[in-house]
Amino acid sequence: MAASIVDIRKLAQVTLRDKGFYSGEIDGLWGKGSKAAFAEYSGFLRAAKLEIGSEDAIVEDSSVGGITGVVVLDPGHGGQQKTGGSSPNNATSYSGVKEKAMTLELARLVRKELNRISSARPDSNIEVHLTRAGDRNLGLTDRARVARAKAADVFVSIHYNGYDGRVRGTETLILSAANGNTNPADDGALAERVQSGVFAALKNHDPGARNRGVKDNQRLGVLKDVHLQNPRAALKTRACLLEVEFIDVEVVDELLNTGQDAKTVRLDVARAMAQAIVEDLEAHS
Amino acid sequence: MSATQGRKISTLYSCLAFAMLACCPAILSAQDALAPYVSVWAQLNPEVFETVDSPGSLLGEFRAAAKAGDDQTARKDWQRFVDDFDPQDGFFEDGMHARFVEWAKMELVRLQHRASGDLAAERAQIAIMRQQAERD
Repeated sequence: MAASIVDIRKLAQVTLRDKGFYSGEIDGLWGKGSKAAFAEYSGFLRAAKLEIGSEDAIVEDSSVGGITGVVVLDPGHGGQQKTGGSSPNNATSYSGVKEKAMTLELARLVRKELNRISSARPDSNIEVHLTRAGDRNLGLTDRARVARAKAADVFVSIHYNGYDGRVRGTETLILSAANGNTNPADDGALAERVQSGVFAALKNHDPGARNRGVKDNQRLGVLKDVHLQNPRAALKTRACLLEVEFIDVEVVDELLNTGQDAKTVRLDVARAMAQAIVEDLEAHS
Repeated sequence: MSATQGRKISTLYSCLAFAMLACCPAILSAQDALAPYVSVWAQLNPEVFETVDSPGSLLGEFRAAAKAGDDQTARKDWQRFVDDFDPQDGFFEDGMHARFVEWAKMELVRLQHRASGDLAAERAQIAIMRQQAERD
């Protein structure tokens, strides 16, 4: 299904190019350039009082193409015991909320949002899985194995940070090429989407939000390509680890947990994450 | 000028010289090195002494090590922290895990400099750690 959508989009791009409205790549992606070209062409037809023919109908359909893909969300930590390199909990918020509870809640919200997007867009089928459904811990390898077992296109591990009660910011981490990442460019693109989306969502509620950026020099067990089986897979899983914020900072705790709008902020973060994942799936469809 | 006036001026100059030295970061670092051990983390985050211990957790063990009051205890506590939390395969769990293990190793390097009496190296190590904290 995904291939046919790409073909339709390519056809639309070729049609628009032939009519002199589009000068971009014939890549099957439907970015701003293609949308603008289609809008301009539609305006031209309306102005000329021409009927949109079958060829143009194909163009119209392609602008609402479906999205397919498998997404695995990994709520960091969980349970009571350390297992396979995964601690039950690392950060605790200023008011005492545990990171493991926050990661699980955010993963559930992102899944809900992805399911909503999938049902709302015709011909879409986004499969979403969580590495853990409740308060239990999985080793880092086992978390990556869930992504491998589900043949995930995208794997996002969700964490919150803690340090000295003052440092804050959002950062997204990927495995470095030096540590065996076989698809660092794709991981980096996913990480950039997630990072910019989540940061913008937080900034929208808090001017003090800080963008710590994407860090591509990391050695993180849950992102190891051998565990994701990327070196042997034809279709490599794109993976990153999001550190939403430093929850041991009082103002961050207020933003995400104790403040009046905390629930809305968390929901907006989830929406931003879902949107970033959808964009990544679209870019690879 | 009387002898009393001379002593007053001399005292004034001494105080002035002391104040200038106290403002010089290099001298401050030297004092750090000579003083009884206080982890750089605790120097930067004195509130760590007020925190309640939560043994077994990354943060709890880190804070416990950061509270050590002498070189021997500090070496033992930081080493235990590294033994417990530095992953054997070198791959971390998350950003927090990587930061704390890196910090513990820097404290151990500093303690090594103290043990060998290399105060200049310790000063350099302290400066690196403070820069690291500022970057974070």
